[in-house]
Amino acid sequence: MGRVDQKIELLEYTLSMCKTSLEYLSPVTAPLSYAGQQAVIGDLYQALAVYQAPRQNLHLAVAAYLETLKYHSINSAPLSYASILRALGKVYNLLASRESDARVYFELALSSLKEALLIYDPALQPHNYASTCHRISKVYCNMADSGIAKLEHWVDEARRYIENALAYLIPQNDPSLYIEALSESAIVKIKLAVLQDRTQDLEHTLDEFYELAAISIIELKTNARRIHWELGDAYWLFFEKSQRLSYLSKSIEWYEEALTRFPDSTYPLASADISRALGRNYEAFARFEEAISNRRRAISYWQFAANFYGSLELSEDVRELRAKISASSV
Amino acid sequence: MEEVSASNELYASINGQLGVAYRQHPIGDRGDNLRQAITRLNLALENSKPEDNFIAYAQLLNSLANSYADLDMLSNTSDDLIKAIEYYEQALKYVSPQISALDYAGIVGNLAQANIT
Repeated sequence: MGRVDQKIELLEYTLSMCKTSLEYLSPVTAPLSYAGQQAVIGDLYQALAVYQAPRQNLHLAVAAYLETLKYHSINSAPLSYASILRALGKVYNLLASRESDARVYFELALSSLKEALLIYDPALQPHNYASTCHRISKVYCNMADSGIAKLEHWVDEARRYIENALAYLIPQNDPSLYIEALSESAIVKIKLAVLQDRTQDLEHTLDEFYELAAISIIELKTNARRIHWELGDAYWLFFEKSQRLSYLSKSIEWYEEALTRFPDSTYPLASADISRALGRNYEAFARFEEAISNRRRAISYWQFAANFYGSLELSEDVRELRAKISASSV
Repeated sequence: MEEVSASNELYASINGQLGVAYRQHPIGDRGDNLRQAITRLNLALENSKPEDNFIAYAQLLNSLANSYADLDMLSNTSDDLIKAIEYYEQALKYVSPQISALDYAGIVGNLAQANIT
């Protein structure tokens, strides 16, 4: 049994235990415990969505969180209420990239997260406040990436929220989130510089980010998996802007490094997403040099990604990649 | 013998409460507080017998597991998380949803969060 299968089995086993315990809890006599268990069930569906049938599991997570909200109120348990809103916001954001009516899900994500943000006091709950800002920034980033209008406005909103998150995050309390926020802040600044045609700021922003990330990784001894991926994204943006092959090569280097840190045996979805990006990069490379070998590499990465998307029942992604493979093969 | 037993019970109870307090202590080094919590909770467990009070024993194991799960967030190695999961599973041996639905739900919920990580 592979690691992914083991993880799925573990999560499903835990899910069945939670459902059993729910049978013995009454929403009338123990509403908070009942709601808490529903929230855990939501978290488990969300975790399962990483490994299998994302759309279906994310919808089941939403149903569980909405059930939880029935038993919480902003007046009786504001922090629990806010934490469910945060979870809901995260799942809606994930659903936006899986559903055709993305805009509806983005709006649901933003309204849930902004409602949660109003409940947290940054002086009293700095970590919750910061991580909610971080999630809002992610929603704006995804809105910009999805091509919905107001591109520059969304990226600027993402920048505003991620900077707010960094202002309240205490690195030692959650090193992983701090590093993640740091790298996302850099990516957002790079995207904004590209959109606003401030080419002179690009190299500077990347250098600054790289230095900060390197220091943080050493100081906080944390796993820097995501940074490699995001550096791949950053150099791709540089290449798109300048059409310089050196940036494209660097983007490939960082993505390939990221792929070793997100092995398909543990992170099938991340592995598929990085492979899709690598396919795109090699396809772009083929337009400049070694057309046949680079195109072959692109196809092989896309095939790898398509296999994983297929196993995750993401048929639209599979269709899109098959179309690319077929176009590239001709 | 009864005196010794009563004193052990008190010693376990105080250490159990100290363990919970250290885990929640907002001041000082978080890692040090969690390690103190683990020491106290282990002392409490060493001086308790599950057969005296299955639920209280399960709650101690649950608190110990919570401390390891919190420590995992700081250390970023899987060792502490593995220990947390082991203690949650041990705790579930002493409590069932029929006997104490709330305790069972709490421990299962914690185990689920650890398995998600």
